[in-house]
Amino acid sequence: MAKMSYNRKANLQRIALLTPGVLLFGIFNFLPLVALLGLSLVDWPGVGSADFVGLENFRKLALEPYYRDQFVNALVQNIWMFVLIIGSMLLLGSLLALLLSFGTNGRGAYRAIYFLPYPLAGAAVAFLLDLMVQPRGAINTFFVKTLGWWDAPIGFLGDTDLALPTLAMFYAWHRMSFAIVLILSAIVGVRVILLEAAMLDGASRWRMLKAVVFPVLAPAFVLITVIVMVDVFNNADYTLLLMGPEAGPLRSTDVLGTFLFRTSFGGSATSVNVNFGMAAAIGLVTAILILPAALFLALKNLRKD
Amino acid sequence: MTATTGKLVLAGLMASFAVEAAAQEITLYSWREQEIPLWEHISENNLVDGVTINFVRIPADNYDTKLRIDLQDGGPDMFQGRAGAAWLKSFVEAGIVAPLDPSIDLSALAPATLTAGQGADGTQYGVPFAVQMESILYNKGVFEANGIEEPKTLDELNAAAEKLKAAGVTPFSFGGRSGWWLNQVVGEVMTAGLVDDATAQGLIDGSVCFTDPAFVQTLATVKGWMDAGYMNAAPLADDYGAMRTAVALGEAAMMIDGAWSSGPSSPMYEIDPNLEIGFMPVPGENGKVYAFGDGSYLANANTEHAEAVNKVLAFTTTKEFAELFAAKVGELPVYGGDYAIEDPRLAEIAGLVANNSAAATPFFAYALNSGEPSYGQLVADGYQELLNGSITPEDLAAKIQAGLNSWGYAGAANCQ
Repeated sequence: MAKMSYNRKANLQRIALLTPGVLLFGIFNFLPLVALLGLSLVDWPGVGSADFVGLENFRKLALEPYYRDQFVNALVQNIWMFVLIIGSMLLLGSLLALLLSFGTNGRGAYRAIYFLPYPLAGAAVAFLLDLMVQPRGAINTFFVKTLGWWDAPIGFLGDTDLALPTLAMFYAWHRMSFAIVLILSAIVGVRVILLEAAMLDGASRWRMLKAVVFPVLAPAFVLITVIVMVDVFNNADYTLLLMGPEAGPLRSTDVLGTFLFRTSFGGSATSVNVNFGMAAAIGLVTAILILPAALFLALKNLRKD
Repeated sequence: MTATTGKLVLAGLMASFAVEAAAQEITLYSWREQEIPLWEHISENNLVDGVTINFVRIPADNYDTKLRIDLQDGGPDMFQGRAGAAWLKSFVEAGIVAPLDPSIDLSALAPATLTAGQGADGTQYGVPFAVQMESILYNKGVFEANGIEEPKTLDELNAAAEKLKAAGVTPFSFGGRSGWWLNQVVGEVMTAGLVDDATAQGLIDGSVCFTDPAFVQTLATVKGWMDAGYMNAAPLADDYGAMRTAVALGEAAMMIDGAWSSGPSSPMYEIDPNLEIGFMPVPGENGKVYAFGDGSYLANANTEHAEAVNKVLAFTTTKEFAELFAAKVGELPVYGGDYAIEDPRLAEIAGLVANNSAAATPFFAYALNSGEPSYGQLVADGYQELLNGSITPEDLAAKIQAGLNSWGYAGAANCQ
């Protein structure tokens, strides 16, 4: 057998290492995506025959007010929800990670407390926090009855302006430790010699953070942003669990995930136009909308490394 | 097949021969665990002559999925369907469900329940089962403690609410966060109480518009309760569960709900085991409760045991079945005539349904729900807007009308 060149061997190794991942990704992610493309071209209630309708689902989504208005509303609210979540996760996450990095007394205990919610199931977190914000829940009882600061309980999830931010805070609370861990490990990764050099140059603490620590944090920020973005635009567990597929009050918590769910399985018992094809179209359009942003951020991250 | 035919011929002449013939087994799919004792009893006692029923219970969450998959390869001989034409539509179109055999006589059943097994054009496909009643449910203890008798008019109801409010009790508990409750319960109960049957039927067939004062009054009454402070502080923030909790705790006196909340397994008794719940219609001009069939027994059109299936279906229309249903399932059967019920709670519900339930069921009417946005959708959204204080009853009625007009429902031409 002819002796393999080093390059050939290296290439074979690469292929061998990549194949399992590509196969898994292909079977469970890529093929369904292609199938989704086919599904988006039919009108199908999930039983019986599917009617081929071409691009009709996409046309309806773009032009028919019934679908278009819901889509635009869900998209705008989804973006707003994402901004609220990522803003609070990065700001509070950085703050808490910084505090943990300072060698505060009992930081091990703090870290454990911050990490506690993360392993909980989304449904458990949803119902737990729902108990907190209900009109007869802990927060309202505390402010109305114990302190007497509020005259009447605030209906957090019943107010069209407050409901979505409340759900966003549920999400941020649940995943905060994920941000803290990533940011903290980045902070820990800051080389001490750089900090010492800065200190010798007489830099203030803020100046050190700005010039030495934050540049190291950027990749962690990007990673958190991409992962949270993909999750927030594709899932709708909190809204579905607490507000139902109708995403009340008055659709004020509707996001792309609930719109998709409602279209494929129906919102109420009287939904007759359930259409898996339309739901597939919504899924595809969502994917296309977030793909550029996700790619841009991911590639930017790669280049820096 | 020969055995079956022979058996049928003999059955009329000599019953004993039929019993000796080999029993046929048919399969019945259901999501209702509570019916297991009923069907076991029927099979064990051979109540449907020569037929044993293999009752297969599938959890509600994946009932539709499992049923649809199994039907692609024969599937069960019979299955239970959820109420209304919307659910039946795809099964009818796929040729799985055919019109009910004309030999099965439904005339003994309560007329309002029939729509549970009807298609869009009114064709009867299944035999309905289980009547559910919706009305005002009230905490009897709270009424007694405040010296309140069951109100018989809207004025009396408002006076009672005023008295309760003064005593620090929330008169009406509303769970507006649950959209399904708003359209399936509140909208229907208010209509049954305030809109006379003929007008309600007119709303369905399009001869009466939703801007009709009678319908507007249903919305205005709810808004009136809210504006007068008769409701919980944030009706949109409480969901269905919170609504029931408030009544069970006695913090609130009344709610609009289904009689199922008073059933033996209701979570309200976990809060107060001694809770006593009373029922009354919204005491308006029509003053009726709302009743509907919960679903229907359906025959698989492709079954090899069509005759046995029809015998079972025919049995479900009888008084004997109704009495068994009440005793074994603990729910109200769809039978329209007199039959014996031992449970006093069920007996009270049965009395209300038999003597005083509204004939029209707009929520289940295919004519109002065959396009998007459907009536159910518009009502759920509309009540949320109403409880949010962002629309007047008149504007909401006009909005519901415009929504239905947008897909050309039956009354679109009449109600521009």
